[in-house]
Amino acid sequence: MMRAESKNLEKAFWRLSKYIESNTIHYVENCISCGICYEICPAYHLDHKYAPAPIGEWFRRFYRRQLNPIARVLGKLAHAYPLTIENLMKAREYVYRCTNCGACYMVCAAGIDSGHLALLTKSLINDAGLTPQVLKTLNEMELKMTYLTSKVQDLYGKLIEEIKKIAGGEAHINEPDRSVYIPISVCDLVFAKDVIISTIRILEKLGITWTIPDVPVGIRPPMGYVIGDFTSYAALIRRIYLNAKELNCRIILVTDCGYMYPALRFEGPYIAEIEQPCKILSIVELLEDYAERGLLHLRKIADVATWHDPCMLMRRGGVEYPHAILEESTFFTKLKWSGKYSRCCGGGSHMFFLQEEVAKALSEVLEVDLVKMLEKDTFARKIAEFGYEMAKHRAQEIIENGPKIVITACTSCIFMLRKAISESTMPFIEVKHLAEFVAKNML
Amino acid sequence: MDLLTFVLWYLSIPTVAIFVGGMVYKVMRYALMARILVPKPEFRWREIAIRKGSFWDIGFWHWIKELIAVFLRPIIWSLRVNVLDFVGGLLMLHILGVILILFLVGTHVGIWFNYVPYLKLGIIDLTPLILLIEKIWFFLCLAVKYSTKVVALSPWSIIVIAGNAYVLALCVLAAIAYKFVDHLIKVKRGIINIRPGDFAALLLLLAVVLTGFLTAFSPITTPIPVQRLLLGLHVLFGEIFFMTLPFTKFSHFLFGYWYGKIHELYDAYAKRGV
Ligand code: SF4
Ligand code: SF4
Repeated sequence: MMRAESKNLEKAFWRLSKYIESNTIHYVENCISCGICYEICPAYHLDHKYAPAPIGEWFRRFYRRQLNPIARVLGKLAHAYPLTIENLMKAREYVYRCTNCGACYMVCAAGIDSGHLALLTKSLINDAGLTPQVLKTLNEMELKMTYLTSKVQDLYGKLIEEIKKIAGGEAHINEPDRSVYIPISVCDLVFAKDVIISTIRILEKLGITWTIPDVPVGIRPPMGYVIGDFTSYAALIRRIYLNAKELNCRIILVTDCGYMYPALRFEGPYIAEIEQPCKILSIVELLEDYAERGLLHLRKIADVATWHDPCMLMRRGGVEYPHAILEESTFFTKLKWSGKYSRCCGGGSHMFFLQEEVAKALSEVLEVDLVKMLEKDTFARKIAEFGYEMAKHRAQEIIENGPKIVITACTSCIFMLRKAISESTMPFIEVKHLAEFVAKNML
Repeated sequence: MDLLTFVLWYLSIPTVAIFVGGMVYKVMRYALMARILVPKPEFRWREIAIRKGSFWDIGFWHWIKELIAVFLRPIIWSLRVNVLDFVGGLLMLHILGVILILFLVGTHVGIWFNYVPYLKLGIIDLTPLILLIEKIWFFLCLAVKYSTKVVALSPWSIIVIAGNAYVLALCVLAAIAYKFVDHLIKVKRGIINIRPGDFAALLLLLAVVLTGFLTAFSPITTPIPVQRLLLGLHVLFGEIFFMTLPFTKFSHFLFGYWYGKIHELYDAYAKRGV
């Protein structure tokens, strides 16, 4: 029984080996255990056991056992661990505490991305059936498109009506040859409807033509990125790329940061093995570019504002804070930990979906009982709590800066920070998406 | 045949062969595992370069700046958050200890010159570089001479170098002890990535440095067989170190570190524009 189980898990490792390339070998082999990366990791701040090198260590352990003959003979002495359910359960405790924020990569002495190793380990965990049920369900629904429930369609219909109101009666659904394609997701519908409305308002004002899909493109694609399911990850990338290609648009505009932006822009071609159909831009880049060129003007507000860098936008996406917009239109103050050294909001990767409120809101529209799944899953709840502790930590750093408004560009950052700030000593600090801010203050 | 004869005349060639074989194996794996045939994303640095100027004027300098930044960032970060580790790990172990001792202590320089006459590698002549390093080293010697009152007959004499090596060797020994204790504390704290291999590597380094230290600074009256044994042990440990280098974490200074930083430059800066 044990042998059969181990054989199956080993097969999972071989399936994954397609994604084991030279940089993966580097991440596996060249950690010198110097500990420089520890301090920057949000998980380490909460529990010193969970630092980047130990988080990456689990993949190294499995790799050594599978691919390093000397380590295989030496066994645990060389930290070569067999792929068993028991070991994967232990690994889960580590890698699910990583939000894949990429901070460790920025300061690692040897250029090691421990978040990437965590993602590969999650893939093995997923193949062993140990992924929290909530995440597994969301991933499956996204892949099979069963998320298109009547409630989702209803909500999308309402959004289209609102869009028509601000766009001269047209919703430009699947209209070819437009400049910008906005891949709207279920999470946009539920958590960031105003962001979509604001984006369209801005595009209209700037005279940029746009189009939207006839149905949401996913729940928050690619969900496979969150749990290390590379099949579904690749499928979702293809889905969005092909939509954009058919429509012959010039730009895929990502309004949510999440992981969608780096996944589409930088990882997509590698994962899905398909060419990018067009340019992929974050709304932050697009607006900043217009502001820099003097094509976007905002009124100056009398508030002290700050920018929270979404990890996936800054460290995994290279998008810096929109200084031309923020420095012109607010009394801007930079957070102590910002840019490359910014801290995660605690909602990165899977963390967002494990929050009870998120599960509840998604349950309502997706017509599945995610809350019940979460209730039954003590591991998932423990991880959700861990993520929320990170959010409180980040909220405290923001509070110390004393802004009136925090501007950012990611659904999970907004959700986590709003929650943590509302329960802090400064609950009146507003957290807003850049698109909402610009739409409100555009001249 | 004593140990020194054996390690110098019989073990040196196999050592180099194993080392070269190991390194070739290591580098080949990286080359063969590269996924070069998959589609590439649009690289962000081009955009940055176009926005800031052409590649050869501003874009080019961006590359140089970023190249320096990927190397400096961890150093600055470590100085910012963990000064003890900066001093123990980087300054004492890497810069003062290993780099200076390995490449600038007179006897070692002599060995390098012996293996690579005048350090001429094919058409590349490294002599000017060596002369420059010698000059820097000369002033360092002076500084150490006058600051620590090391007895010296002349600035560039063997005694000064030995005097400096003495200080440097103590630095490495202290740094190895620091790393050992640091690893032990981490293990005690439940940090799982510290392996028995990490301790073994430190012990091997300790063996190399300690035997070298004892060889260089044993009193002149030490019997010749003992001196030869000490030197034999030093060379033996050095050869074990060298042989296993491609397979231990120490390979970072030949390959892993450089590969990692260049990959980071490509992935984070060129591709993503971070
Ligand atoms: S990616 Fe972020 S959370 Fe994960 S190990 Fe690195 S610093 Fe920690
Ligand atoms: S900084 Fe890099 S090399 Fe050092 S312990 Fe962390 S992952 Fe390993």
